[in-house]
Amino acid sequence: MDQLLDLLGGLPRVALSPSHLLNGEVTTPYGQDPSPESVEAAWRDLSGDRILPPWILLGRRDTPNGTVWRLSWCPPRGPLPASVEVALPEGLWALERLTSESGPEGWNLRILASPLGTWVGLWEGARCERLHGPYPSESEGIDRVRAIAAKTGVVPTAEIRGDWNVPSAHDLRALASSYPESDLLPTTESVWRGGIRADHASFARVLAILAAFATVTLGLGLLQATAWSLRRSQDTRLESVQPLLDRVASLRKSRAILQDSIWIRKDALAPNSVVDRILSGIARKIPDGTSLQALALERSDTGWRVRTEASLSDWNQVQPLAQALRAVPGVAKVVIASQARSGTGVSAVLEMEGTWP
Amino acid sequence: MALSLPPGSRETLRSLAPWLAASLALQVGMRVVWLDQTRAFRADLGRAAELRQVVPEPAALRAQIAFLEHDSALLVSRLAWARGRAIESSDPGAYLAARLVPSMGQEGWKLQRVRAESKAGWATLDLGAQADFDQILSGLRRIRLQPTAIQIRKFSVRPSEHGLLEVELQVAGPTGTER
Repeated sequence: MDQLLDLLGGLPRVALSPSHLLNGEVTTPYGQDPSPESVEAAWRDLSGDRILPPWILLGRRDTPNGTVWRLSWCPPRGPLPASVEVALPEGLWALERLTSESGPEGWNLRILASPLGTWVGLWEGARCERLHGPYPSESEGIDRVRAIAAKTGVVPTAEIRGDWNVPSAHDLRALASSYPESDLLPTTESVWRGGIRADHASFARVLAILAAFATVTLGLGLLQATAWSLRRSQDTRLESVQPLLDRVASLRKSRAILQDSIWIRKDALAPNSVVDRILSGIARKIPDGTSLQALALERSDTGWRVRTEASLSDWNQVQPLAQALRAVPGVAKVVIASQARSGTGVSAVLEMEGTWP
Repeated sequence: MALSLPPGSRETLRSLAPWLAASLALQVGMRVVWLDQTRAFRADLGRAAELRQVVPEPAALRAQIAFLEHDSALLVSRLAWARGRAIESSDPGAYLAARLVPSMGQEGWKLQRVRAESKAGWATLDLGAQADFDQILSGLRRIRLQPTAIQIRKFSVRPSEHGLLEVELQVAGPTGTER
């Protein structure tokens, strides 16, 4: 996963590779860093016309003649790893580990046991003077570095042991960034590999975009499938009740037809006219001394309407007759339409309205 | 076979390729694929929600069917009753006269005039007769108790000779045909 992220980020792959360590020094004007030309000149002095190898700057010491830079040339030892863009000498990591250790003032030996062997360096305080290794055994390394130191009249007074750890990809990239001159790969090879790495990174980014597209599409597809499933379940429910719905529709339709048929025949449903009851009801309410001369009944929109002519002995019987007729069942209204003297009596025309009992 | 490209174009291509791919993916996704997926997703969800609300439960439908069947049965019987009360005859007027005239005669009505006709879904019978008051009441009661539906549209009485009353009566019965 980390490698994939490094590839997407376009970060170079860095690895350690075995190399020789050839110690030397370069003197520059006070305060100036060593230029590649000065390092190459020092290399020429040491090895003639051989190709300038990568180098590691070990430390510096200011002297009256200028700044003396201690360095180690690192000719590769064996084939370089094929799958990296930067190959650093293994000694560079040993130098990092030993430099991170705090030591006493004065000359001291710093020893680092690693899976590759034992690295032994000569330090003056916090400044590295020399670095050698890896030696098959610690005692051999210590003896040889002490012997080298003794030739220059230096006697280390202390031995400091560092802790080895496997560098992470991040550590190695930081190291490669800090020591660009230490890359064991030839420049053209490094550029070519960087191009290939950039091609792969670009391709990986395209693939990542396509994967993101596919992921979003898949996610939406899952939502779509879920929604389809919900709809399908509801469709299934609808299908399961469809016969019942059809039955309801059929019953409603047939009921509507029945209702229409009944509406057409609604007159046949009405009860028969009960004129006999109205007539007998009126007859029972006629007071003594009063007689009806004529009676006409007809249907109205709301019930029935009666117009009758009554003969009464005097005027005072007209209102009681009307009052009595109002008590007939179903009668809603009694109106005296006219009243007139007729011979020795009185003739009154009454109009009644009512509903069917 | 190595691909030969102009100087600098390889770097440009490798820089632009992810952007081109992202742009293309976004265009295709947002305008075609994701748009269609979203539409289908929303349509399915909407349809499911609609069906969830619209489609009734089977138990409710069965109850409704039971109610409708019961109601239809009532309507059928009511329709049968209405049909039974309507005059089903090729000559409804004559049928109505045949049902009522003899009955009125049996009740003591002295018929003077009878006219029957059928019009606009109704059979109509006009009667003119003489009878006393009790005969009139019993005749009207006999009309009321007829099994067919009969309306008395007009009814009038007035004194006549020999202590009788002169009756004018118009009755009508539905024929069960279209009006």
